[in-house]
Amino acid sequence: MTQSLKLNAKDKGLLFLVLALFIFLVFSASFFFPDIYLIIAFNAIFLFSLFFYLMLFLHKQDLGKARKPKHFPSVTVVIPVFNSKNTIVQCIDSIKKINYPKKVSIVAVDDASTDGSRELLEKINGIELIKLPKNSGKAAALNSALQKVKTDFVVCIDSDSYPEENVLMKSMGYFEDEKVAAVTCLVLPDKRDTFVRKIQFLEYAISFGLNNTLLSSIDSSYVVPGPFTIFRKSVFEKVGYYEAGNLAEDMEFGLRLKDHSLKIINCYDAVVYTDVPHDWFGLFIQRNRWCRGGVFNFIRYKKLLFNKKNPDFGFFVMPFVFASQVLIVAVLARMLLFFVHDLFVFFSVSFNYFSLGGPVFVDLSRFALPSSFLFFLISYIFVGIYFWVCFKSINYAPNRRDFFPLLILIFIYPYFITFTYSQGYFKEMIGVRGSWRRVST
Amino acid sequence: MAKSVYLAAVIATIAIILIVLFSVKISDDSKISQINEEIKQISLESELQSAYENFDVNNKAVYCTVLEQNIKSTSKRLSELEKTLQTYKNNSFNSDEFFYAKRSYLITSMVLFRNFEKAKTSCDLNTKTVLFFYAEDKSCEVECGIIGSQLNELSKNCKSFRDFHFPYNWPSYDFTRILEVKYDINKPGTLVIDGNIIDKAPSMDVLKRMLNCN
Repeated sequence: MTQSLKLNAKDKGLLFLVLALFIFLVFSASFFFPDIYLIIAFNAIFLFSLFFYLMLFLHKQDLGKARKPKHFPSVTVVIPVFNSKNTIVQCIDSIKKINYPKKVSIVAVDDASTDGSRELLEKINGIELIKLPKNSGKAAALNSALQKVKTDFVVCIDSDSYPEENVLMKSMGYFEDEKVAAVTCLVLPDKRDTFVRKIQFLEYAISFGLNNTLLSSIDSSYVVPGPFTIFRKSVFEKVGYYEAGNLAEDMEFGLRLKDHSLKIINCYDAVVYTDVPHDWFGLFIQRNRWCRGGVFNFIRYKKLLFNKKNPDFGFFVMPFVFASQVLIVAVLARMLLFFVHDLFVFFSVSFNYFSLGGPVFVDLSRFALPSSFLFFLISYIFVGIYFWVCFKSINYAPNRRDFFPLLILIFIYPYFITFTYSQGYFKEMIGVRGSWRRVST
Repeated sequence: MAKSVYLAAVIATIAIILIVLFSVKISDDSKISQINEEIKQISLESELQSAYENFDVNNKAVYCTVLEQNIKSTSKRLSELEKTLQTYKNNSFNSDEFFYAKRSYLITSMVLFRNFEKAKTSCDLNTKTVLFFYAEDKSCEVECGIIGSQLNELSKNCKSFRDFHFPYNWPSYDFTRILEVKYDINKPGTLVIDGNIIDKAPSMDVLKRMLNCN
């Protein structure tokens, strides 16, 4: 599915300004002010957000817990399927095993699969199958089913996701608040067989666990994750359906709910397992799409920035996400640039020196710790504390095999994401066509 | 509720940033005071070297031995100091303090260079003088890095030369311009060995020969 949506000229101008700020911070900031100001600003923003989340956690420890419903409304589960023959059977089996007193209907939408998924679905009993004549993309596939759903609640699930048995019993209770439009769950990778998946497991445990819950506690959760989200059906009639052609349709829909002052709640006691990219390249492709979709949607919904209707989102979350996507990425990119440059000079000197007949010379003073390191050290300490709180909140105790992935997640992974995001900005700016495709299996 | 959380987070952030800044300031001040103290000591030694010639120098053998030993030890300390200064200058917040320390270091270096030249004349020392003009900015990172590394390596075992390093065309240290004009230096990465200009990084073997280090 190709992204057909493009930013208009005004929004492109805005993106150009953001990009100019990014380039300025990365390449020429030190001509105008010392790097240390950038480092202090970066760490201050980072520490502020960490402190905010930690303090919020202390205030709202009951959030995210299972909330059993008093009533049990019927639920329909919608699965968009495109070339998922390896996962769809397990997905449907896990839905059938969901423990819920009322009927859980399953609607699978085959988006013109070419790998035999359609034939496979035709053989499965107990599901309704919608066959799309041509490949239309995930959003269009979801919409075709959502328009036909009769129940008051509907679950949108990816064809490579597997909910736990009690997922509905734990999360449906949140809908007793009439303002709640959607409930999201703790999404975790189903396998930890590769190093990249081990890193993602920890990352998902943090972001889809406590992080999302804290955001939802200040009514600022802005994504309805594709792997599994429960919706009040009436919401679609109120705000419309998924936007076809959007690279991050789950984020767009989440932002649209924010725009209509509707709540998204996260329940981290309810767990859904999903297939995630197994190698760095797959992860790069996926994050590049997320980044481009994120940039695109944030610019589209810029009206939410500094919007008094939802002050926590407009004055904290959105500016922070913007700052983290520009300032933090710029600082990390800058550090990466310096590191590569220093490495180049170091090896050039060593190599030339060697070739000129001298011994290879290692000047250890190059590696002396700078004073600015203290800022990063403090930030890393609080990151460690925050991660520990996140894991504890979902009752996950990291063990020895998590040690190395955790180190990579904290110290190296941000650089990978920086590279991915930087590329994403440029692609979105120059209007390279993006595509949604399965990368995880 | 959220407002009080924001406020508490802001206060905690400011407190942590101030604590870190304060710690960095204490650490940098401590480093700079050590460097300044060392510069002061070397400077006093240099003054003493100048004062030797006012003493009774009838016993030239003793005078020259003492002077040579003194210049050797001070230039070694100065060379160590240069590395320390450069490392901390690159990594510190107190750029002004390090700038003044660097200035003091360069002045001391020039005095030491003058003392050494005088000692060579009065004591007939068979030691070569090497002036190395490097760039403070990034314009000569690789070439200057190579020459600097060569000189550092040779000075560990070779006693036949003394090297003095000065930044090229750096407005903040205008007094070094005198040396640039005297030796007609046109670019960073230039060596002056006993008045002879070498404006391209020589190979280690060539440099060894030039400095009588074989």
